[in-house]
Amino acid sequence: MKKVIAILMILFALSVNAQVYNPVKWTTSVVKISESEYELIAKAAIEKGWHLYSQTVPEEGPLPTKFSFDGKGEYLKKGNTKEEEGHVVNDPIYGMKIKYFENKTIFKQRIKIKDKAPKQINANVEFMACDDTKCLPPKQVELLFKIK
Amino acid sequence: MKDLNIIKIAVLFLLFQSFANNCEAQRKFKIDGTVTGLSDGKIYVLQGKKMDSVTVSKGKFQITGELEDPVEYIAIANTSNQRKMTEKAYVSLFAEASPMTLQLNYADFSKAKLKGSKAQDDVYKYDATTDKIRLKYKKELDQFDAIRKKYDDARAAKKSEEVLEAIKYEDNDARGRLEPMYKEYQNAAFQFMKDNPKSYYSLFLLRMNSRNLSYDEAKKYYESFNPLYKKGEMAKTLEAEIENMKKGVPGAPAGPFNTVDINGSPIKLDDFKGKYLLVDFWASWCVPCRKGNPHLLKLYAEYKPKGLEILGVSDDDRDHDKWKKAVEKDGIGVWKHVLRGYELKQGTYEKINPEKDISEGYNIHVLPTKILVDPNGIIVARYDGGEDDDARMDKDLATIFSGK
Repeated sequence: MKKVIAILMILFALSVNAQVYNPVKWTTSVVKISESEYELIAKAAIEKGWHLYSQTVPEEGPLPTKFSFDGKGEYLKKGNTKEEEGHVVNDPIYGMKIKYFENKTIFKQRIKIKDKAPKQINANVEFMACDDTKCLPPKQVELLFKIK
Repeated sequence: MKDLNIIKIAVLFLLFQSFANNCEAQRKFKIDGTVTGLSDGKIYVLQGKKMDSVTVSKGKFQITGELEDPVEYIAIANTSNQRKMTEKAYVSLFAEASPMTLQLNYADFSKAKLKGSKAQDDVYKYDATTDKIRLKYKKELDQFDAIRKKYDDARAAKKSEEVLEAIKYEDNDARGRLEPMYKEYQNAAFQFMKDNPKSYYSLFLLRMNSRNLSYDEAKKYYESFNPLYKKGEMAKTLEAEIENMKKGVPGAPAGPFNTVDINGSPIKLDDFKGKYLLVDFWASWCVPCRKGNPHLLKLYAEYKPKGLEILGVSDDDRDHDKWKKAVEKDGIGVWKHVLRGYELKQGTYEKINPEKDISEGYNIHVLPTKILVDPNGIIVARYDGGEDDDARMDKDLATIFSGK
């Protein structure tokens, strides 16, 4: 088991420019709700010490996490992308309440298929991450939701 | 082999990007495999962004693929579902042009043995060394795992913030006790690269560990490596990374720029010749950066009369208003401010003008990063390490300006 962890570490380390941190990793899954409805789930695994931010943060705060779903008219989004409770802190620098996630968190998007379910849905997530002493500039990661 | 939909596995996705970009397929690889615990069924092969299924018949299977690099990094899994991709569900391997055989145990893919690949032989050799190191730190590793589990359990049980916070401190301590193990890993990697410069795996190890090397050290290792492997995509990426290490480090010339400042006045690196310049890479949305502003103001007040200038380079190209508000709010308008100056292709994160991005010239990856430049335009210090940065910077500035 430990060896596999080492291999994973190799993968992580190589997955980005060797100088760069990569504290948030995304995985996806899909849950079928009914014949025409699906729930797209994006899970973020966040390394200890790092924070991922909510989709709604005050205007002058950090940059929010943002999902974009590429519809091509195959489906309709039902409601907004849901997120977990997270932690809300009163940040003294910004002088405002800021919501963030740590360890791991899940985002969910309900969709309604128009005619035929597409095989996969392409989306992306734009996010930034900070720990107590530093921040990583926002970046975008591609998410693929595979519909069975 | 049947084409499946592309399945994204976060772990593998970015890694394979560089390989996937290389479309020139030259050669093929072939693995003859046997599997225990599965007579007829399917296994899955990941290469680049592609996942294929492979049919297992009477406990035998064959994997073929294109070699896009001299050595190809692939993963073999017992599932195509990434949520089930546990540690025992897959193994990653180096495939080569020579004929290879693979022995799989369906219940535990991580125990797979690949024969006929020299690169993989070297991985096994290296693993034997790291296994020994892990054994030495078994107690510390077990403690670390136990605390992680405790934290996850406490979270699942919705324990209070105080309880979680307390576990985090334990976790931090446990991680601290593992530091010497990581140091030993690193030394094992350097030793392997010294002993096996012609191994493909040395390229991988250098990429993993380059963060802890200087440009000269990394370059020296790279030069000793096998020319055969330096033609591949992975080597190209590594070369670019090593070249980047020359930027923004002590001894290197400061990255030139020529832009306009927050007030619309032209500004360029040469304007600061003859003075010490602290280039502060920050952003309005970077809390840790802004927490440091009161301290910077103090330093500026103390050393400005002795010849220190500060230039704030902000990662706020998306929203100039936020940038201006933050400068005003933090009262740092006393020194000069510019933006990184990059533009992105609409709707993407692709830079259309990387040559205009000031951060590129200093190899900036994390905020805040501060770079101290001497009166001749040569970098004398870089502060991007986190907690002790301020103390180090204070000491350097005190030394430079003592007696002035």
